[in-house]
Amino acid sequence: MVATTQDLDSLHVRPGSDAAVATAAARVAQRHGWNPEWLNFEVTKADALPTLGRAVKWDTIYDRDDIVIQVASKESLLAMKLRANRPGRDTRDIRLLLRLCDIGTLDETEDLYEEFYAGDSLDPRAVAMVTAILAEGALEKPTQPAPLNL
Amino acid sequence: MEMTNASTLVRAARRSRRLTQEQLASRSLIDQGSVSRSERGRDASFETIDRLLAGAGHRLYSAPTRRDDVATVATEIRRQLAACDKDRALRALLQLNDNLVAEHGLVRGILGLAEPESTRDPVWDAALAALVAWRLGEEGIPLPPWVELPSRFLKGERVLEVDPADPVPPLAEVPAEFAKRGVLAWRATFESV
Repeated sequence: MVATTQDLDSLHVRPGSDAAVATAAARVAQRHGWNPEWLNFEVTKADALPTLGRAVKWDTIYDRDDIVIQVASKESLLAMKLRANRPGRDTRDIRLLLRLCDIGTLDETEDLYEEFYAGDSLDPRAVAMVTAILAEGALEKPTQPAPLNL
Repeated sequence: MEMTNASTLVRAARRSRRLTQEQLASRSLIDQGSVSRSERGRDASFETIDRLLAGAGHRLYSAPTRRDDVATVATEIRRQLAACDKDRALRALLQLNDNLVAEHGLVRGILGLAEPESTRDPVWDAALAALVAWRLGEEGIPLPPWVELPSRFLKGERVLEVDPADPVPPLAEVPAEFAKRGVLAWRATFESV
């Protein structure tokens, strides 16, 4: 397996218990030697999810039996990454997502951000990061991963 | 991330005592070739590992945690830096941060106890010490002596240079233990969300 992420930020979206899901995930972790918190619900506590502006669009990547797995669209992921704007940690993701979303100016970036986080403006650190990324010039658009087939 | 393995422990223990493979071999009554093989993960029998660790003045204990310690993470960072992958090197450093934060008291201290080998990059060596000093310090856990060694402090101020688009932080945004060692890293980088 190619390790590309440390953990999955998860939301509980259907009736049920987060604790039951976390316990099941910990069992999977033990079986594979993964970090026991590989699936966690921390993101719901962090004021990271847009709630007031444009609704997050979810793409279903798995729907079988009683389990549905959905991921946020690239635009919503970009908005969330812009909100986090942790240097070193989010920079590469912001660069890739800007290209995947075909965003080439700071104005467009701010518009997208404000669509999701209504009444909020881009943090100065995020502005610095985006400005530096855009100054790198137009690089090739990354290939969008094929739809997941789980 | 590689799980802790015995070869990492032997190499980190040897380097922390500033021993060459020959010196460790003679202290352990093992030939140098065997030390080399063990450090490359070829001979990981408990008997050999135990003997080599004893030669470096270390011994194995078990701790109630499955999380990687600083010596293991430093080896991963060294590997990623050698492959010019600073992004993954940072992920490893952040994993150590998460590991330290997840444990408390003595167990957190244990994750920072064994002196890690050098990553071959003074900025990352200083960053590892800064992270351990920060996370142990916030729980009032005594610091292991290696985090205060001169080799863990930079002469001037430097950044980790993970991504060219990363802004340089003002000192107010740098955790004190990082600032003290001359590593300009954002506090925000270590926040989990």
